[in-house]
Amino acid sequence: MKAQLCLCLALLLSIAGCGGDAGDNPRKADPVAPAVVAVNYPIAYMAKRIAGDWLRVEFPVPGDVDPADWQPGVEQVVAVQQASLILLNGAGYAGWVERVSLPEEKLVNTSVAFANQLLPLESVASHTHGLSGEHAHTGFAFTTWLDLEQAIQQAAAIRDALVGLLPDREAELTANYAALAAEFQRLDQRWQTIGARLAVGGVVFSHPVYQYWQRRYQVPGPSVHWEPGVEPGVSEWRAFDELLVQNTIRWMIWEAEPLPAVRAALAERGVESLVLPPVANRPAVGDMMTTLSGSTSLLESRL
Amino acid sequence: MSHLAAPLVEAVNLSFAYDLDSFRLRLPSLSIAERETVAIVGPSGCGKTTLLHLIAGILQAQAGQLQVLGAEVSAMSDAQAREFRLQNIGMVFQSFELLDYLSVLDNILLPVRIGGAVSLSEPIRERARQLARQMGIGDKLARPISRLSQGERQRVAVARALLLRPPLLLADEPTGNLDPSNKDKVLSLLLDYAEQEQSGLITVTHDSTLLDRFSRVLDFSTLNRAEAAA
Amino acid sequence: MNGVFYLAWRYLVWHRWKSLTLTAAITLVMFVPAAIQVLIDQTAEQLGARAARTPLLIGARGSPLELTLNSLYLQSAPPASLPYAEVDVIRQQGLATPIPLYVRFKSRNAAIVGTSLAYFDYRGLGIASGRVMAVLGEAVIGANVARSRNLSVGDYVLSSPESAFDIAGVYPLKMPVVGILAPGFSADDDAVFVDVKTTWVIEGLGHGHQDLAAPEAARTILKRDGNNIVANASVVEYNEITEANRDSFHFHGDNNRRPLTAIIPIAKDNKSAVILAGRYQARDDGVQLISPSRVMNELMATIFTVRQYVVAALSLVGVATALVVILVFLLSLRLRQNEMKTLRYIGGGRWHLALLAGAEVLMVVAIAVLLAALLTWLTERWGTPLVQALIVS
Repeated sequence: MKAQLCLCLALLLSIAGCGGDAGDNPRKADPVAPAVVAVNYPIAYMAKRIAGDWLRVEFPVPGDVDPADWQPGVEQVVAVQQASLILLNGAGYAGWVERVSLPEEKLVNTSVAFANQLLPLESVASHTHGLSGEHAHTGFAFTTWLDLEQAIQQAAAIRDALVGLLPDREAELTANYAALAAEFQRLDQRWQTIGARLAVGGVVFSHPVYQYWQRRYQVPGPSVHWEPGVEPGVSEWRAFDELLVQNTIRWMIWEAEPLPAVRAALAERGVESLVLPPVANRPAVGDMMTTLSGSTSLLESRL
Repeated sequence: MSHLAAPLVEAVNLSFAYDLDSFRLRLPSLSIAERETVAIVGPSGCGKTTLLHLIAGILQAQAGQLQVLGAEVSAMSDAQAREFRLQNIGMVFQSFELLDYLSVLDNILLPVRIGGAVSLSEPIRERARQLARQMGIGDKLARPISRLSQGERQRVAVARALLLRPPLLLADEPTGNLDPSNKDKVLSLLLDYAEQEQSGLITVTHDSTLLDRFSRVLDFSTLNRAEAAA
Repeated sequence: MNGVFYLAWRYLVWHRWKSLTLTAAITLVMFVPAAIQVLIDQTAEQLGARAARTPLLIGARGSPLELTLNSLYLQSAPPASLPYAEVDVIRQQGLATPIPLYVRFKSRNAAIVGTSLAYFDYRGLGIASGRVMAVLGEAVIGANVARSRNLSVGDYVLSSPESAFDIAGVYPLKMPVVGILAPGFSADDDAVFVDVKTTWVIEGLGHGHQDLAAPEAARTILKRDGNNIVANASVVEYNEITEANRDSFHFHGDNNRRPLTAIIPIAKDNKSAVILAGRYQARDDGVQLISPSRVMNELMATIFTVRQYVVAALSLVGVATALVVILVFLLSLRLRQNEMKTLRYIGGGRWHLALLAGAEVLMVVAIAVLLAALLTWLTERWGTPLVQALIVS
């Protein structure tokens, strides 16, 4: 008797969970939802978190290409032209945008709110030719999302753009944004603590992509141009050793796990390798938040 | 004049004067019998052409009576006279009076085009072509008048006059501008038509060499009493 | 009756030169004023329609007419330029969507219009073949350009140097044709459309060149000064943007300072348009907002005034021509007196003879009227494009 009652209850519960129409489940995917294109993974992630299933978020850059260096083919540009919104990182991130024709009314610069706080890059190389005078192929540092306060502002810009596209869903979009912003704020607090600890020991960065992270979390330090999967050459080691002479460096922050031999060589020099991936492109596993959270946990355990 | 034939032309006390001219025509009587071929002679200015125009109804006499083919021409209105002339009288002029912008055929057909009473039907066109052949100009129907000789032009004029088979032909100096050979040809055409169609022919001429071919010769200088009196 | 008209027709044919001359004179007297009327009316309608479809136009202070002609009709020399920053100013105000225009350069006799993709939707221009431009350097050409130069998608157009002697200035850029517009029956049919950034490349504000760090560029290097590489002018600058070299193209200087010749603001509504106009009226910084309709109306008023004088003058000529024609007909009648006499002798009635004389006049006038009507219809149909082609060529 009791078993039959439980079975009926289970059956009723299962029936109650299905058969509803799309209006009962506001998160059901719309097969013809307008498309939003993002120029890098963090922007795409934020857009997806805010938009949920109401919009298709497309990030056309292949997984093995740095989105900042991506050059789309003509067909890809034509596809981007059809999007309802094109979310730009700002700070000159996607140089390809300057060489294509996009519907300007669909472009959204997500870093407008802090445009006057962008960090100019030091000249890496400039050249002069003909009558045009000296000019450098540089601009601003563009990994803006690594300053999580800026990331929240970028998410706000994305929210505003998506609400403009789906005004009827403003409440849901705003709620999604609030949840994302809360997660960023919690991560921001953890980075504040990590930053204070790193600053004490001295840090060198494997690549000059942490400018905003450095500024926000007050971790000064030089940068080199080392790739995680590439063994530095003799001249690079020599230059690194000179850095060690001029600076107190205990930590080196990498974009990804360095080669064991490099890690060991650095350890011999008293420099411990830490990984803080910029997540400019899709991580192999997880997403932006899980990747950053996981890296942060590892950093916390090491510091 | 045969006492058996009705008069072709009968004039009694006919009187005419041009408005601004002192010339006067006064004809107490004149009678031309049917089927007569008459040559009217006289000095220039004696009224020969005026008489032809009165007979044709081109001019209207101020007094007297004039009957042509039995019709009282002197009593006709201008329209009636025109109609009478078109249907009964064929006129040939000294200077041909052809239209140089028309072809030979069109000149022959001119009375039909401007008359209106007779329609431009195929039988009429065939008659025109036949007349042209008779005149010896059947191969020149499409040619413009300017490309014809004097003799050929007068033959076109004769064909035009004969188109509607008029019972009376009036010819004013028809051979005046022709050489002797053509004079003979043209006069023969007129006389042959008169004989064949049993129609009348009244011709004004200065050429005395042709007079013996007519059945009657009238000296108009003696007939016109006004001139005679003058 | 038929006979009379036949005779009249034969008379006209016989005196063909006189007939043709009279017919031509009467035809011209009727046709020329009508053609002027038609051409000006059509032109005014076309110009006015295009101006009406562009209620507002922003440009640098200067001649409103020059700004209008350059921006709407893609003719006349380019006006003074205004900075691209004005596009952001308009966008940030939220009152209108700005469409940038840079109409300075030409490809032979076709204006090169640097603009954005929004221009095509705004002007209602459809694509007959191919697509709109996607990447830097691509061109979309108007229907007339395609037809006159026998171009199709995949061919190229070349920008023309501004001066044969300015070898260090604007240089020709080879642009692939990626799309051909459907006929719009407007100035757009005779234009070459590119992204505004491409016109900046033509001007030399952006360029692509060989990598100075590459070995093949070594011979162009004059010196290395720290981080600065000084190269001589022999460094290869690309005059065609291809898939292979596109990522080498870059722009110098501040994007906001790059030049435009005009901006078309598409106001959200009438209220926004009024507010926008008010704001620009209050500015005295070298930027103006004009109403193209008002500018064209003033121009057309001038043209209409001139037309009135021209038509009045032609009318006088027409009267004189009519008098001469009447004189010719009267003389003709005089010359035909003997002919009329003969016809009367033969049996022609007064009415027929009068009709014969009058038929000559009637037929000449009737033919002239028909010819004038036909020519006026042809002018209505093809006159404006023909005149434009003759003027352009």
